[in-house]
This record gives sequence, C-alpha cells and structure tokens, in this order.
Amino acid sequence: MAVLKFLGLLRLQWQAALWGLLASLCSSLASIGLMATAGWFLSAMAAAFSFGILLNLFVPSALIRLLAIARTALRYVDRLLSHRAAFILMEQMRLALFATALRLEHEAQVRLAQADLERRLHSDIEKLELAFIRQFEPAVVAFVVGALVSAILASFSYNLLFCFICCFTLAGFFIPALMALAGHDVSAKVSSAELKLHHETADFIRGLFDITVLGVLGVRLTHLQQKAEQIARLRARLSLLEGLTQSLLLTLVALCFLGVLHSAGTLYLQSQISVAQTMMLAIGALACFECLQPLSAAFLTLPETAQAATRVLELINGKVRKEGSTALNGPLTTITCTHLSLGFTGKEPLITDFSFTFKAKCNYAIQGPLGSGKSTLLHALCGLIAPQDGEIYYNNLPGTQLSPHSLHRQVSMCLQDPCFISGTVRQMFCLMRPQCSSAQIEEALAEVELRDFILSLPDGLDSYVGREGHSLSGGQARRLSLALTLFKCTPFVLLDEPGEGLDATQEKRILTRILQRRRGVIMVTHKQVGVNLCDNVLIFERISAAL
Amino acid sequence: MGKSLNPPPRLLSALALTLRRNLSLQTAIFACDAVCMAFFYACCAKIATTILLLKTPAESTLWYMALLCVFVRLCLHLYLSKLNAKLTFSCELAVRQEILQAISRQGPFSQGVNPGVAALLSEIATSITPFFTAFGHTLRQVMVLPAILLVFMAVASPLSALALALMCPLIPLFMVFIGKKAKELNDRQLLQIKRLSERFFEALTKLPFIFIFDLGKRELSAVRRMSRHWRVQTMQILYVAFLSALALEFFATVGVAFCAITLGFAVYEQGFSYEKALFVLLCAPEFFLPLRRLGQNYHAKQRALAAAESLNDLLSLNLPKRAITATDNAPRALTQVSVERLATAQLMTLTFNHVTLRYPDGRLGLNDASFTLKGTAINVLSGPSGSGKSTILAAIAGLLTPESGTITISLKLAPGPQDGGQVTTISCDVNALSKEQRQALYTFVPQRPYLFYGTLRDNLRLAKAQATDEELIKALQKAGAASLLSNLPQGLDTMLGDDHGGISGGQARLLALSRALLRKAPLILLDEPSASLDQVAEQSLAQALVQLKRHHTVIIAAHRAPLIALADKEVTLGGA
Repeated sequence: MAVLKFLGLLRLQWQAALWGLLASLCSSLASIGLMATAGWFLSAMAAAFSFGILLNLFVPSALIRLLAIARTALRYVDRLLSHRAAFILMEQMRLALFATALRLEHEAQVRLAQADLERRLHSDIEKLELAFIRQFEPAVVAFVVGALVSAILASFSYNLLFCFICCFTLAGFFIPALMALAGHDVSAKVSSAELKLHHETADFIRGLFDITVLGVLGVRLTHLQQKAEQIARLRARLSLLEGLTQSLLLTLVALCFLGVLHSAGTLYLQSQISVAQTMMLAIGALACFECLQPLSAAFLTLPETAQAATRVLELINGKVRKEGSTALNGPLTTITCTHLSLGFTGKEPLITDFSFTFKAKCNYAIQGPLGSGKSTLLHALCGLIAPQDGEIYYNNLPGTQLSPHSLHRQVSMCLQDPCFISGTVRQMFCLMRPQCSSAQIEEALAEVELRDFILSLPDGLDSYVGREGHSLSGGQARRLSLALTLFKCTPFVLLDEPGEGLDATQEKRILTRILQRRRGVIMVTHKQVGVNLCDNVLIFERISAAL
Repeated sequence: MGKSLNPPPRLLSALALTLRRNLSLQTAIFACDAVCMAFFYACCAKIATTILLLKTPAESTLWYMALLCVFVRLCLHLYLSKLNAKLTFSCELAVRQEILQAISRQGPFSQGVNPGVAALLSEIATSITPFFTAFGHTLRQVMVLPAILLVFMAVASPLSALALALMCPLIPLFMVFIGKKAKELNDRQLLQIKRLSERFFEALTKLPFIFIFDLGKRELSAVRRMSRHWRVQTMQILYVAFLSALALEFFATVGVAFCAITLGFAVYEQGFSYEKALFVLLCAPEFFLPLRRLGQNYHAKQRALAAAESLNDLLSLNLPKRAITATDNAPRALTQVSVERLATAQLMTLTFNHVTLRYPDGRLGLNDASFTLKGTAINVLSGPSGSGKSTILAAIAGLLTPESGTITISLKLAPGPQDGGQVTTISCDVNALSKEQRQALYTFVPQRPYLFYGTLRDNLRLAKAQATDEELIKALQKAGAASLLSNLPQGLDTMLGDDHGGISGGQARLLALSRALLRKAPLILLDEPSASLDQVAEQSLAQALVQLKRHHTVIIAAHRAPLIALADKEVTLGGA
C-alpha cells in the first residue's frame, strides 16, 4: 500500500521513530500500572483490615507515587518524542519527494506547478506527514499493550484472557475497521467532491470578474453552494460513524470491566487469587482501553491517507529525465540543430527537420504564429525537453551526452511565465552569481528599469520578494526574471516573449538595451519590437492546422 | 487550550443560535451520562465488595443494573453522535457558504479574493468544524461531568472530593498561562515558520527554473536545511505548548494517586467503607478524562483560529459604499424601465464629470477626469499603462463607484407600450441604476478573460444558458473568431480551461468577445482587445468592431495604433 511506502522512509530514521514509540508505550504502561497498583493497594488494605492481616504499607504506596511521577513525565516526553519523530519523517519525506521530482522530465515537472495541483499536493503531503502520529504510533502502541496485558491475564486464567481479548480486539480493531469500511465510500466521495468544489471555486474566483460582468454571479453562487451542501452532508455521515465507534468503545470498556470482574471474582471465590489481585486485574484491564481511543479516528482517516499517498506517488512516479555526463571544454560558441523534430510526448511534432546553427556572436529573433513550436525550440535548446528526432550539437558535442550542469553554465533562459524562487532580492541574484556586489545587482536592475522601485522598498536589496513577502506586479516580476537570467552572463541567453506584459515604450527601451549590449540572445517574439536589432530572424510556420 | 471559547471572528454568526441550541442539548445529555456513569461504578463497587469482602457471589440484580447502566450510556452516546453529526453538517455548510458569499460580495477587485481562497474553502471548513464538534463538544462535557461526579464522590468520601475540587480549577489556570506563553512564541515565529514550510512547496513548482539554472543541489540542501530549521523552531514552541499538557497530566495523576493512598490508609487504619473507597477510585480517572480530552483537542482550536485569521482579509474588508443608492434620486421614469427594454436601448452619450476613482486597496485609479463618449460609435480610450483606461471601463460597469464626480448616461429607449409608441430619451446618473439595470446595459471583455474549465460551448453558454449552437456560431462569427473555430478539431466541444487548452491570450479574448455578444446590450466594453493578436487576427477583429458600432456603442481601452485608428472619438488620458 502507498502509505506503507511512505512509512518505509522511517527506516532511515528508525532511532527517532523508536524513541517516539518507546516513550508512547512506556507512558501507556505507566498509566495502566498506576491504576492497577492503586486498585491492588486499596483492596489489599481493605482485606488487611477486614481479615486482620499485617501489611507492608511502604512499598506499594511508594510504587503508586513513583508511577504517578513516571506517568506525568512520560506523557510529556512521549508527546515531544513522537512529534519529533513525525517531523523527522516529514523531513525525510520532503527530501525524498524533492530529489525524485528534480529528476523528472520537463512535462511531469510542469504538471507539479499547476496551481490547483499545488494546493492539493500541499494538503496531501501534510496528511502523510501526520500519518505517523495519527495512525502508525497509536496502532503499534495498542497492539503491544494488548499483547502484554493478554499475557499477564493468560497467566491467571484463560477465561480472563478470553473476556479481555474479545472486548479489546472488538473495540480496537474490528469495530473501527468495520466503520472504516462502511465509511470508505463516503470518505472517497468526500475527497472527490472536495476536489471538484475546489476546482470550481478556483474557477469561480479567477473568473469572478467575467462572471460579474456577464451577470451570472447568482446562478454560479447557488451552484457552488449546492456542492457545498453535498459535502457537508457526507462529512456529517463520517462524523456519525466516528461517534458510533466511540460509543461502542465506551460500552465495550464497561463490559470488559464487568467481565473481568466476574471471572476474577469467580477465581477469588475458588481461592485461586487474592483480593488485591482480583481488583488489580479488573482495574488494569479497564485502564488498558485508554490507548484504543485514538484508533477509531486513525482507521476512519486511513482511506484519506491512502488516497493522498497514491496521488503523491502518481505525481512523482513520472518518467525520469535522461542526462549525459560529458562536460564541455571551453566556452560554448555554436549550437547546431540537425534534422530536429520537437513536440510533446504522444502528440504530433511541432517542428520537423529543423537544421540551423546558432552562433554565440550573433543575436537571433524567432517569429511565427501560435503553435509553430517557437517556445518548444527554446526548451529543447536549454535541455528541458529531448528531441523526438535529430540532434542538437553544442560545440560538436551531442546534447544527449552533455551534462546539464555543464550546459547550464553556457546557456540560460528566461521562461515565458516569470519565474524565481522567493527570497530577498540579493539572495536571488546571488543564486545566479554567488559573489556579486550590490553595485552589480543595482546595475542589472537598472537595465530592466527596476532599480528605483527596488531601492524604494524599505529594505532595498534585502526586501523579501515572493510568496510571503512583497508581491510584484506582473510586469515587475517579468522584468526581475529577465534581469536574473541576464545576470548569469552565459554565452547564450534564450528569451521567451521578453516584452509580454510591458508597455510598448518600456519594452522597446529594455529590448534595445539588451540587444545592443549582449550577444548570443535567442529571442522568441510575436511583435516587431527589437527584431531589427537582431542579426538573424527565423520565421516559423505552423505545420498542422490543428492546435 | 483552555482559553475561553471565542468563536473565530465573524464566521458562523448566522449559525450562532442553532449552535447554541445543539450544544445545550449536548450539555444536558452529558449530565444524564454522568449520572449513569456514577450509578454504574456504584454497582461495580458494590459487586466487588460483596465478592471480595463477604466472599459470596454478588446478586444477579446488581449485575443486571450495571448492564442496564451500560446500555443507557450507549444510547445516550449514540444520540450525542447524532447531535454532533448535525453540528458537523451545519458548520461545514455555513462556513463554506459564508466564504462563498463573502467572495461574491467583495467582488473581483478585492485583495482578499484570490485563487488561494479556493483551497482555504475546504481547509477552513475542515479546521473550523472540529472547533465546535470536538472542542465545543468536549468543553460541554468538561462543564458538567466533573461537577456531577464530584457530588457523588462527596457523598462517598468528602475529603477526596474536596481534594479533587481544589485541584480542578488549577488545571485551566495553568493551561491558560502556558497556552498564552506558547501563543506568544508562536506569534513571534509565525512568519518565519510559514516561510520555511512554504519554501518546499514553492521549490516543487519551480522545477524547470531550478533545472535551467542548475540549482538542483543547492535547492535540495536548502530544502533539507529549511525542513530542519522548521522542525527546530516548531519544537521550541512545542516544548512550551506541551507543558500545559504536562500540568494537566500532573494534576490528573496526582489526583488519582492521592485518592488511592489516602483512601487506602483510611480503609486500613480507620475501617473506612471499602465500597465507597473503591467507588471514588473508579470515578477519579473519569473525573479528569474530559479535561484531558480537551487538552488533546487543543490543535482543533489552534487550527480553527489560524484558519479564521487567514480569512480575516476576506471577511473583514469594508464593503465599498455606494455613494448614491438606487432609490435615492433616480428619476421615477427610469426606475420603472424594465431590464429588457434597457437591453435594447441605444446609448446617446456617456459623460464623465470630474470623476475620481479609487480601488478598494486605496490605489488611485483615475484622478478628476472629464470627457464625453459618443453613442453608436467606437470610442477609444488611449494613454500609457496606468493612466486609468481599465479603471474607466470598470467604473462604467459599476464595479467601482466614483469617489467624487458623476458619470451621466443618456439613453434612447425603443418605443414601448407604456409610452404609446413614442421614442423616449432618459438621462441620469449611472449609479442611480439598480444592479440589474446596470448589468443589462453593457457587456464586457476583460483584458485577461477567464475561460472556465469545460467545453467551448459551456463557456459561451455562460452568457446565455439556452443558446443554440447556431446562435453560438453566429456570435463567434460576429466577433471575428470564426477562423479560430474552424481551427479547433472538436469545434464547440473543445475542452478549455487550466492552460486554456492551447488557446492563446489573444484568442481567449476573441472567445470572450463572442461570449459577450451573446448578451444583447447597448454598450460593449473592451479592454485591450488586440494585445498579443497577430496582424491578421487584429484586422479581422477591427472589421468585427466596425460592424458592431452600427447598433452598439463600443468603448475600447487600447494602446495600439490599428485600433486607435478606428476611433470615432478618442479620449487620451494623461500619465499616472
């Protein structure tokens, strides 16, 4: 099962997990021990008084105090260690996921970035991260406690054992499992309904402007609210199932206590055990059930966790990118495409039989209608996608043999959608060129006309930009992205629609500046701006009429 | 944990009464449950005393009574589950509905409305519900069960009861104290912790970027470092937060141990009744159980509060006030004009008189502009980006209300039965129109129209639910998108959405124009309709627009020459 695969990551950090489990187990045992000893002590005292026996009062009362302290301390330690183990598991999981994702092919990687999926992924991964505390640990502890107590009871009488095992397994395994089975459908339905509502709401919000101006706000809202009601109904069913499990657990605890009291009482009347032992067994068995309490929720959420695991696995089990290992010696001067065919996997190629040599000394513009494969060519040139046919030679070295590490020292690319990793502005630029000065960064920002804006922020170059920091407008993000790409100073720079989203005069100023200062620019554009400054213009045609 | 039950701000206000009633009923049932529990343990204690001290089998009526108690408790708890399920239903529904309503109330310009809210919708519902169903539920139990048990225990052993009663209030006290400390720590590190956690997800979505710039190794170690950092910081908070659990456990354990030892000595030295002592010992853990559960549901409360806080943006923004309401000073003639008649009316002029517009986030959109737009003509708003072109369109559409100044509209209504076949003209402030009337006046093609996930047909039908395929195709032709349709192999059944199914931004705008044309309205507002269209497409759009001006008034925000050339009336806006 997919969940097990993720829990399998625990073996890398088994010590942390073991400590967590051990602490949890010990605190459970201390708790049971305390109650059992208390029962034993009270009954022994009563028997001593009634039957006039002299007792050692010191040892048992000291034991009670000791267990009380142990229980308190262990609970705290247990919580800390369990959470620590869960977090360590989480770390492992994130690293493993990320390492796998890094090796994926471009198309699979792009899928991860789709907005809806990203949020989904977020909650799926969080669910998996909680699986240790919510599901794995309680199950293991319940099993060990059950086994230990069973063994103790078995040493007295099989009647006792039978009574205990029946109630314990019913309450701890069969009933929750049954409920989980009954809830499986509901849980799956909730999941898919949530997903659907989420998609539709995202659609609703993104298209809110359109919906408002089309005058259909009310209709869409009612539609979404009906969906919400359906989910609420399903969730209520799940909640009912959990309540049912808890109620049955409560009943079984009481029945088990009565059962053990009855069997132990019979044993006592047959003079096989003492007064104190009778009470110790009954109260001890009663106290055991406490560790079953988290199990019902664990079982009920199991299908959700399993689904999360399957979804995450599906995403990262895509095709792995093939990488060469040879490095280029010397700077890249030419990129030669020979009989190149490019396209998405399983679809008609967008470009066929394309042969051309790009020189680092020249600037190129690529134009053509939508769907003619302009961007795809750039993706192939920087190694994001592999050619379906033909070969790209970098200084006469075939692209399939070249290591991406070496390639990306020579070729950088500004993607069509602005892209950078959040951080301070300085951090972003340092990613491109590790030892860079403030002056250099400011110069790069000035080139795309962002310098004044960034310096006007309260923290200047150290402003945090991105998801949780200062947000940039679309045009600003694009310009920042452009500045970062240019900052890398590679012999070839690939720009995908660099002027999109900028106003005409600014676009002209920026592009002119870039094309005059840099060589080896390969620019995809559908506008005329800057094209006259390029040494070569390639015009692409669309091969097939179909989009 | 242990803080007072203040519901997350502004949420569920509509539900308060239902919630209170449900929870009060739960309180009552918990009280019955506590009595049953006490009876059950009393029976058990009596049975044990009979067997152990009298060495005779207990009477069967005692056993039956104990079983009866168990059965009654089962029934009570089943009923509780049902109540709780009802509560779940109402909460889940109310939270989602309130968020959805807030989104539509706030409108597209609000900062709080962004696609992230969609994900919050389920996250919040699932984190606020437990606040009531788990935390609220347990809190009711805490309020009644210990009190009732205490009464029974006081009857059996006043001293033990007194000890427990003294200990009980200490627990919430400690929990509040420690909870406050933990929250302080949490607040201090919140942003950093959030950043650390978000960074991983961000890196997952920026893989192509990481590949191109060869940052794989760097990011992998960054993810490792961040996750570790996150763990260390979170653990620091937990060290404190769990102290409250420690306090709770301490009192619960000491309470039980104290009862066991004092009662043991009392029984041994003073001949205190074993039955009563056993009863108190059995009840003592139950006395603390609800409180401990409350501690476990601590997360439920924290999560709910955090979730509600993330909604603050959405729920607490002030609603834009309408300067003039529909009923204020609208000419009587106008308020009576039906929506259908407005839709077929002709625009004479649209006048902006010293209008200043401001976005909800405080950004100035347009400063003191005055101009007049001509009816049944192409009006072009030109000027650099940021000069207020889109803002004007939004104001005409009623999405923004002028901060000062007035927008006056003058309409020629087609002859209707009321005015005896006479053509009437009306002029009034646009803000005097009702929302529906206003909506009937215009159709709008935004700069970045959104194509919904679904077929092309579904997308077009959004404007007119019962439109036939012929009508749809006619609308596409009218918008100059006919060639686009012929390029789609699946025609109207082509799936759009997500990445627009291979439709470019320019093409999406053509589709949106077709969509807009399905609605009959005198005004057509277009925001940069030709951006990122190639020349051929731009020309066919221009032709389409010229056709449209025969019956409609077209208002275009544009900065490209070919469109500006079409203008019958050009309004040039200054720099920002």
